[in-house]
Amino acid sequence: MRSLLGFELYKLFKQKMIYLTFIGLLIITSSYMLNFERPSDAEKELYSKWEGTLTQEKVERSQVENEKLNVLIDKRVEEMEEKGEVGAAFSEEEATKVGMYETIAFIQGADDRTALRLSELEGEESLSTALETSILKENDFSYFAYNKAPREIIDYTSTFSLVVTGLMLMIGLSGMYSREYSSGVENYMLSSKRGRKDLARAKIIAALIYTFIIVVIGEAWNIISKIYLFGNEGWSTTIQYIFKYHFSPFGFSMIEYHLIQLGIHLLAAFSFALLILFISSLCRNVLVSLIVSGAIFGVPYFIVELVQMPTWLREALQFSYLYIMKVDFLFTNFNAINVFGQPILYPFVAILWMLILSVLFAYTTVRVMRTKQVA
Amino acid sequence: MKLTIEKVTKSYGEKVAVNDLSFELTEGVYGFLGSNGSGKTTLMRILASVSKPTSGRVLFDGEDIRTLDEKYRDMLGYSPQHIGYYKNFTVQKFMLYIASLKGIERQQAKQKVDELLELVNLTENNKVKMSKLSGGMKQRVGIAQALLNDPQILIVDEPTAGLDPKERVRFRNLLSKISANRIVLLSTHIVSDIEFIAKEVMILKEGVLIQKESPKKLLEGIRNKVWTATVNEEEVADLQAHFRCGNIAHNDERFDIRLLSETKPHSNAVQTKPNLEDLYLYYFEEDGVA
Ligand SMILES: Nc1ncnc2c1ncn2[C@@H]1O[C@H](COP(=O)(O)OP(=O)(O)O)[C@@H](O)[C@H]1O
Ligand SMILES: [Mg+2]
Repeated sequence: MRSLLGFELYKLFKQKMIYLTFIGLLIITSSYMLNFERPSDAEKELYSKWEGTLTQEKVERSQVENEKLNVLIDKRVEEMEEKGEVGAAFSEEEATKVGMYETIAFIQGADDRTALRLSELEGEESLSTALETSILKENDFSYFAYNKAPREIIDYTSTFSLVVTGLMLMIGLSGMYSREYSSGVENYMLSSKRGRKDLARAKIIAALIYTFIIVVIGEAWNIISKIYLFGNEGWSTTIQYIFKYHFSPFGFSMIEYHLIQLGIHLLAAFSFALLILFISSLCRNVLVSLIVSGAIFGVPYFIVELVQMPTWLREALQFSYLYIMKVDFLFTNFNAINVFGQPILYPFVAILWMLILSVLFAYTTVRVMRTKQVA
Repeated sequence: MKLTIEKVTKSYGEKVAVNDLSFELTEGVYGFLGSNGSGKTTLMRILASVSKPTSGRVLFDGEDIRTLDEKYRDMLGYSPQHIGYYKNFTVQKFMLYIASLKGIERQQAKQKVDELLELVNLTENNKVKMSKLSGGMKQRVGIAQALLNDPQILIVDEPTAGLDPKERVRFRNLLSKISANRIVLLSTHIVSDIEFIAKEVMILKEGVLIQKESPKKLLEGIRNKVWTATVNEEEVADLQAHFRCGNIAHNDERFDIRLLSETKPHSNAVQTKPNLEDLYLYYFEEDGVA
């Protein structure tokens, strides 16, 4: 078994295509970072003054200061207009301050909304009321800090990572069986003692190792590039600081959420890898294998984004590989599915679903190979 | 050791490639003879368990090979008609890969690979990429990989296709060296490949087994039917129109022609000793008869 696995890994990593593609993808999906500016020391200094738990007193003070600043800036703008001057009406420092005060107000808003929602829930009697209440009760968004790096890292994972991972899996794994068929090596495989069941297992493990390595390298690149630009602060602020998760009922810190996000991304990637391997076991042509996998990955996205449909269908379609690898929709709102009168949160549904598909495809691949014939 | 083929049929849609075959094989070399498309490869694939019969079954010592599964494949060496390989693998790496497919321990595999490459005269080429080998060398790798697990059943599909005559002789020597104590099946459409080494020749035609005999017996069957005659050009055309003709040799103004006939075909025809080429002619060239 070990030497079978060794050969499978050797064949996988001998593909020159994967290196070119990987580097190309990482560069392309990171080119937006060229527009980023590193924060100045002064900017970080300003943030550190406000860092920590936001007390009532702090929030009010920030409101007052924000108003003062705004009045000042408005006045300056008027003066400039009168004189016919053009240019910035405020300094770097003032811009940073306004941004910071607004963020504080923004996160205070999320806190207020939680309180509001909790009181709403007290009057409700639906199946998931208790569940939602218990999640919301834990929430505390009041920690404030400079958190550009974690925000960007989380954003990359739910956007570009899925493109990188998805394409790398398709390109690397689509040929795993198809190439055996098209090269004629299938004849040795299928007539040898370990070329059916054991080889299928070795290929499964090799595909999972490959997937793991791709995700880990992608993650390393994500982390290193963002931390290099923005520093390492802000991991204990909550995800409500990110606009996309502002309405999320889950009060995860950035680090907690990123780990969860990465875990689900990896699980979905594992499952997708097994699907690709399964498809490859059915396709004699590498290109066909690639196209079928690509369609299963991409088509749900285009349907969801472009076609009008009832909400339940849209939600259902989101339980496809691309969206689960994207992870975000599982956490942006409170969503649960009723299973035998028991509300199950979307993230758990997604995890369970991916596990079921993984087992199914792994098992079916082994089955297919046990009875496979040459064409 | 006995391989039993029991009412085996294989169809591809309408096309029946192998039609209701039943026979038995024991230790020794069997030569499958048949023109292109007669079903040799199809039958060998079934015996090599890479293809399933549409109906019928194959038994090894009385047990269905599908039940034996891994145990059967463990006894099997198969060299397919077209030697598949990975382009960037060296000969040695390729052999080690097949060894791992066969479940041979790494250390033992190394030794076995060296041994077999020596046997097929490829020791010098063990670091050469598979894609750089000549047709004959690839065939020899095909044989070598089939022998890695010291198989009791060795199936070699058209091993001499694309070999030059010298390589063919070398291959026959190799085969006679390795054929002891195994069931060896060899398909070819070149008669001389099996004339001297086959215990039995099996003649397939359109998926049907029409003969299964020792070469000697088969030749006896056409003993009084092979003739040679020396004739002129017009007579050649005339004979070709009415009889199955083999070799024609130019001899000054006249021609020496070899042909098959139940009765004396020409006034100066003389009977001659049949060989397997005649046998092939006898079974496969009847379409040529007007
Ligand atoms: N995979 C296949 N699909 C359809 N027809 C096939 C296939 N394999 C073989 N055949 C047909 O079956 C017949 C026997 O082929 P084959 O076993 O390759 O003959 P041989 O090896 O004696 O040349 C041929 O007519 C061939 O066209
Ligand atoms: Mg053939």
